[in-house]
Amino acid sequence: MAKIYAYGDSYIDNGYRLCIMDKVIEYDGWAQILAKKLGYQLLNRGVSGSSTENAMMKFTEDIKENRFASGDIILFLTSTPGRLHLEFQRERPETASVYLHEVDTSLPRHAWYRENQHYIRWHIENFDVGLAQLNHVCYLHTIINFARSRPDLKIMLLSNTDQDEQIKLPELSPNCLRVPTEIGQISRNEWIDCDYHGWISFTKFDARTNHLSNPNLNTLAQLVFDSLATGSTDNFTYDKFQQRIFSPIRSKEDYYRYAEQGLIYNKPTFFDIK
Amino acid sequence: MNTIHAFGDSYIAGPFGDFTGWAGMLATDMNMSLKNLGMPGSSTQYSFKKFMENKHNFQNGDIVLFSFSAIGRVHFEFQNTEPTTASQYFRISIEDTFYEEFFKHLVPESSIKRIWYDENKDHIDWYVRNRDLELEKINDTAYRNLLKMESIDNPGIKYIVSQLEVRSDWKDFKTQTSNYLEIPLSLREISYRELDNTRYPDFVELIKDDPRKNHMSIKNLKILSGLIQESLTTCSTRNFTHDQFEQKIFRPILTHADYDYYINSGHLYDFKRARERLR
Repeated sequence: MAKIYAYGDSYIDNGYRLCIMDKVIEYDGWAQILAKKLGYQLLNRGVSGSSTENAMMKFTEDIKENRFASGDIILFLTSTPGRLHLEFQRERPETASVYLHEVDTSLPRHAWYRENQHYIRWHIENFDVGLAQLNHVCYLHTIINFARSRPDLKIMLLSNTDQDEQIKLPELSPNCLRVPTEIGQISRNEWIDCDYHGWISFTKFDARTNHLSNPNLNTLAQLVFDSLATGSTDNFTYDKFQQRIFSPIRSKEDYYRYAEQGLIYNKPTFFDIK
Repeated sequence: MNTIHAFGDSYIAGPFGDFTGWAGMLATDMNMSLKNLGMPGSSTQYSFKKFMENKHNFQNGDIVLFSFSAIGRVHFEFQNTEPTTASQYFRISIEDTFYEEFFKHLVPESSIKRIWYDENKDHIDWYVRNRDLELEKINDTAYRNLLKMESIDNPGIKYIVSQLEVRSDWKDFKTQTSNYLEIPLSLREISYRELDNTRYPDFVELIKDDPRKNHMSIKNLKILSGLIQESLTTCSTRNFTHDQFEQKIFRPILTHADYDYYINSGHLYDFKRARERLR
């Protein structure tokens, strides 16, 4: 069975998976929806909160281990530059964005942060974000160069940030496609008169999967599916995606209403997690 | 007149007053002007930023020389304005006691380099212990990939890549272009092979600095420049082997007579500062 390898952060990681008694309920992210459409096996290396550096390390590891087989698909999604990457983040990649902000240091899972907080803050203050941006450009060049050497694979580049839009990339080989729409913008377009903080002020987490409504997860998967078939990403325009569909969730009732409308998954434990 | 654009650390920096390094020799031999942005002690990250800032100036017929530094040099915002500290802080942080003494000797306490180091020493040490060197290797490879892709997009410009350390831990993506050439030898190895049963710290003990420019004897700088010219003609770097370079040239320089010997035999330039340090 051919495989999809996915790299990136919460915009591509696996959707929610819930085990109740013997029953497994899956709430698919767009990469899973795509894999089902194609009949491919999905190996999702994406980790919510992780950095592009982590994605590149995972991608490199798969190259070195010679894991890609003819016909496989690679989805590589770049994140915002400036997320933390030290040796610790190899084991705990989700902390790359978490530790950019203050965290509850009383929690056992943040022991490393608690012990090194003073140094981490210094590191973040002195970090050269401009270099991180350049590094991301070089990662994209590396992937594009890799694509040229492996015409038997299909590679799709995506981004959750507008920073990549300004990057001049070399000519892509026919097996390498770059999605021209920023996934983060598709996500932001879903809100009505609020920002991310307003959107999560009640739930504390983004109630959506991959930061997209369910209809837009399906649209994204379908557009990627079509692009892989046609070899073109001209089909990607913002107007293909639903916009202005969410007002801030201010109560459980709001949440369940959106779930009933099919805009988000109804995850029974969502409020328990909070 | 076309230009040679050079980026890297002390292995490519220059000119040094009236004297030139191998990049300058290459420019003279090829009747080209030289824009050398190499900075002693700097990191590959810094060199790469300079490359990106300047690449819009490259013209057809120009040559780009990019010399990769050792992996592990530190790069923070501060190193954008004080790039030479990238190697200095790294070497001190890995407890190179010889180098710490060297640093304190070279850099006065009132210097911004020294002040920033003294204020942030613990943090730099922590960073060096906690950073991910595997990622730095990947970044190094990613820089090479960008250079290679640049060469594909700009066939009228020639790109020559040299390196302190030859890396063999990465698959070659097999996209070959005739205008992208990677020197297959470690420049550091050429430099170390010049020492005759002498450790580097002993060699530089009295002068407190490497008396060689680009860490090579003048003869080997000329050989390096000559081999690159050959490579540019043949579009191949197969001509590069260690036995093309002179080896076992230097023993510790302990006296003016030692120093004079190496100058008179054409291995070193005569620098006033080096002579002063021999006193």
